[in-house]
Amino acid sequence: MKPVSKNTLLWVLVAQATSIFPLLFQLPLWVAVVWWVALVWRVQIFRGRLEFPNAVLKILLGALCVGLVYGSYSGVVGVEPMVGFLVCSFILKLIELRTRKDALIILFIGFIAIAAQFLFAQGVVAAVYGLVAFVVLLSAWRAVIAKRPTPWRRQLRVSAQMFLQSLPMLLLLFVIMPRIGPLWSVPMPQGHGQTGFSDSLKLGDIGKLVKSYEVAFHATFEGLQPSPGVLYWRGLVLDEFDGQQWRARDTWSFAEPKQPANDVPKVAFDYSIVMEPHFHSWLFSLGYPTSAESSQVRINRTKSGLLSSISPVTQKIQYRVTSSIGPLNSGEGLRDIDWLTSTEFPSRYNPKTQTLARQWRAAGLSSQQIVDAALERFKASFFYTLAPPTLGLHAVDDFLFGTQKGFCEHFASSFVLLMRAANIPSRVVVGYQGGQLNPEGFMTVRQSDAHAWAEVWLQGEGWVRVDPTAAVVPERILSGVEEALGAEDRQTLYSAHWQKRWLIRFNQRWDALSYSWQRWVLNYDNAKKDAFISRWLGSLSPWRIGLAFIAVCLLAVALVALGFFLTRTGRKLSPEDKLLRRVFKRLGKEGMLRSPGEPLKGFMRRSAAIKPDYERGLLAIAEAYYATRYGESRADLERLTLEVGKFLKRPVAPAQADGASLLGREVELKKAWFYFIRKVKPE
Amino acid sequence: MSLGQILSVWADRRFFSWIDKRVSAHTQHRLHRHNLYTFPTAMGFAYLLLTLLIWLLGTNYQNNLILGLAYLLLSLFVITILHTYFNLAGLAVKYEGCEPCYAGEFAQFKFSLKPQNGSGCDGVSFRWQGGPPVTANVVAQTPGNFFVKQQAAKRGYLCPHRLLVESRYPLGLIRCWSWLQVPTKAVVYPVPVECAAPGANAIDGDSDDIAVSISGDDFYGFNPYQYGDPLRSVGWKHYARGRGLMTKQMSSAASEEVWLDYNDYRSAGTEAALSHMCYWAKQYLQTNTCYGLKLPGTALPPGQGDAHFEAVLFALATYEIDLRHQSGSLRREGLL
Repeated sequence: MKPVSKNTLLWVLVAQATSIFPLLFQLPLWVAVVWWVALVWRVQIFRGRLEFPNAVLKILLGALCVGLVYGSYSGVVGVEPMVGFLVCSFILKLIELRTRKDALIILFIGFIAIAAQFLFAQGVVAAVYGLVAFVVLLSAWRAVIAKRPTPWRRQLRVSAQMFLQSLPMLLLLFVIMPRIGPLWSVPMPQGHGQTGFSDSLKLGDIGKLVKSYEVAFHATFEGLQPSPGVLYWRGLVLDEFDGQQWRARDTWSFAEPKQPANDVPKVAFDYSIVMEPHFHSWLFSLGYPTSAESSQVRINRTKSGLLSSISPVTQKIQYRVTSSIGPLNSGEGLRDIDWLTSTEFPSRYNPKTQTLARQWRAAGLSSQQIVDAALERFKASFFYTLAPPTLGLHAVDDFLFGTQKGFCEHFASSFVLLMRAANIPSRVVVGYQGGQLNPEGFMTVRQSDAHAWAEVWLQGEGWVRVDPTAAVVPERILSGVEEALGAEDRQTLYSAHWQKRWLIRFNQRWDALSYSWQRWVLNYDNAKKDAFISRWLGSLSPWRIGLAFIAVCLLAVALVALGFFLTRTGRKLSPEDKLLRRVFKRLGKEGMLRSPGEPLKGFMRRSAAIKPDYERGLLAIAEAYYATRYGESRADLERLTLEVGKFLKRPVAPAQADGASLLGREVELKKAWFYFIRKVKPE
Repeated sequence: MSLGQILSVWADRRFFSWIDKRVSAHTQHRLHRHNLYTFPTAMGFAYLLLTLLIWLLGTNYQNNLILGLAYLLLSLFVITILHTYFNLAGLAVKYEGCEPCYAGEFAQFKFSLKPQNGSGCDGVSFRWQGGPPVTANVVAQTPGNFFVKQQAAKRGYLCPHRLLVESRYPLGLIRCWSWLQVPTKAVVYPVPVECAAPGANAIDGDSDDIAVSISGDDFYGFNPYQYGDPLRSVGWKHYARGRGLMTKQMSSAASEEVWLDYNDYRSAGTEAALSHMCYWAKQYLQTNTCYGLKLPGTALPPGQGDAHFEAVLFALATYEIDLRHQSGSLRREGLL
């Protein structure tokens, strides 16, 4: 095979850069360095400054890259090392790019690189970028195969055309092809930036989290729409406190809880959630989910009324939940062991808190009264801020009796400890509160909606939600964290959210777009496919699907073929004929029609007889036309263009009323033009 | 011959007998859906494998975007079939003739191409069955000439008649091709082989009846210039005086007549003899000698110039060659 030309090499380099670019962010920095070195090397080979590497050097380079990948991922088998190997082979192939065959291998790896890019990002932006990379790869491919050089704009345009031509069949295949589950188990991307909560809570964690404007999940409610006071998205229950941080004691005990046995009629909500990957296994739900299902993951319900997937959420997933709102009560009461854990209080710390609780107990207050008393206390003198003063060793004492300024986790944590000091079982719940309702009818919940609150066990009722933050700043619950904060805090939050007012509308649109993208493209599954097909075909019978498939395929192919037929065999008018057609159209408007077979000059003279002031212009046009048509000079065409331009600038005189309808005239005009072309163009 | 070879020869024979039935021999062909065939190339199959790989990736990761990419690649494959077909469809291929050549050289068969479609044909490659390929780009609406080569193994007639027209434009995934039957007949001269001048061959006692041979050293008269007359015998002075282009006729005695006689060379065997005669014909052309040709059964009166040279070489090339016989033997050899 022949060696690659400069043009081809350039195309391959650009195509490789385009397809590799997003992957570089997922891989260690040295990959980018290796790529740069290979790129410079190959360019120097082309300029004759360097040689192609010999076999030994190639093996050494390969071994070096394998070693580096192994070292960077400490031998773990996963998606990132796999992609690392792919990208390395992609890069190293560059310095042995000699022939067209090598170039084609590089381009083929490029398509896999686009696929690999979709493992890490699946948003609208990623898809559009992948598409651009696809078109560039296709252009490079055509440049490698082509026998004659083509300007790069044309190359890109034709490739984009080819993409558009394959679009109908792509859509059809996407919609109609059944989704088969995984054929074998594969490692999932690990993700380096885990977002959202971790499985423990330190004071200040949520304060950091609310500064992020990232989307946590989207929710769509069917039927009953919730009020803001209900929107407590529970994620994790933390019931173990070691003096510094809260943890989940028994993270996932999957004992299937019995249906809550309360007599109180409950409100139930049906909703579906599309969750961004957060690389943990917990899922978010309102109240106490009574059922949860998803086609993508297996979902378990835990004893504390939470949802959790079997494996960490590494891709966008969608699940449907039915939740009931109200206290969680299994009907069995609290087991001793649970009682013990949820009243555990490190007695060495926070003496003042313990004293207060003991006073309340001594005064003979019931659990409910103690809860109310504590909330009263918060409401009276506490202050909600993003920048709380630091707390000492006895953090709860310092907070409750000293600073009294804090964020939601301060309120929740100290409230739960105060309850525990009073021997009331209680725990911290973290999750999100609220959500922004998009005009399109779905709700966006962001990291800035992160929240922590408390649940206390009340005899006879079960686990009851208590939100001390709501007692301090009711606005937090009703209208979000921004409204609840003071002006200074709000400023920090704004700058952190980069959110200018005029951006809000754009954000909402963008949200709506990415949400529909997730629902209809990323989460398109067999259920959606079946629903779609039965809606359009009436039933799911295989022969109907088969027939429809064949019909649509044939239709698409026929359309493209027709396009080819029309564009490639269609008569192409020469520029002088196009100009003349405009003159004829104009004359036709004024009632002058060329009869079949009439010579051009004769027609012009006849027209000039009707409109004497046209005479000079029309004759000049006829002269210039003949000169262009039968001469060779470009100047003649320019003269014709000029004359036609001058002629068309004249104001249009109304057509003489000769009774002929406008439509009839149009037809006649076309006929005249047809005869003219037939006559002039020797075929 | 191994079994594989036998099978492939058998398959070829079946295929071409089918092709020959479908496409009749004409000097002009237009490519269309009746004579164009398409099939994926090796690269096309590799591409389908790549598509399958990406589909597996998408299925295992349950990633709709990767699945979408796989479907996009598959649709592109289908679209490419149309692109490849419409690149060739409508192309008119016309056989324009062939100049004679010497055995061992390549005969250049001239073709003219005229695309029907508006954007021309890219990367169209032509070759005779068993011959080297030549690639052409046909620009829109501009008929162009080009040559398809075939090596002439031996003197006589060279009649390759199956012309392969193929293109893998635009992606190399699909090969679209056509076998056209073109009735060709190229004359192949014997290859000139140097040899010593044959002995007393110049004097021919029986040639008294040939009065004057118009070649030699003595000026004989003027004749109007004819195409093919050597330039050095043009009467330039005459021309400078404005009396037109005339050729000086030289006379020489009949005893100096030169005859290229087969009998003088036959000792080396037929083919070698013809090669030697070809060599001397070339020599005579260069030295502008007037000479005649004698072959068993044929004779050419003495003459000179390019036209005479070509007539002599044609006689040498076709000596004892039966066209039908030769094509028959070629067909048996599996070349046709």
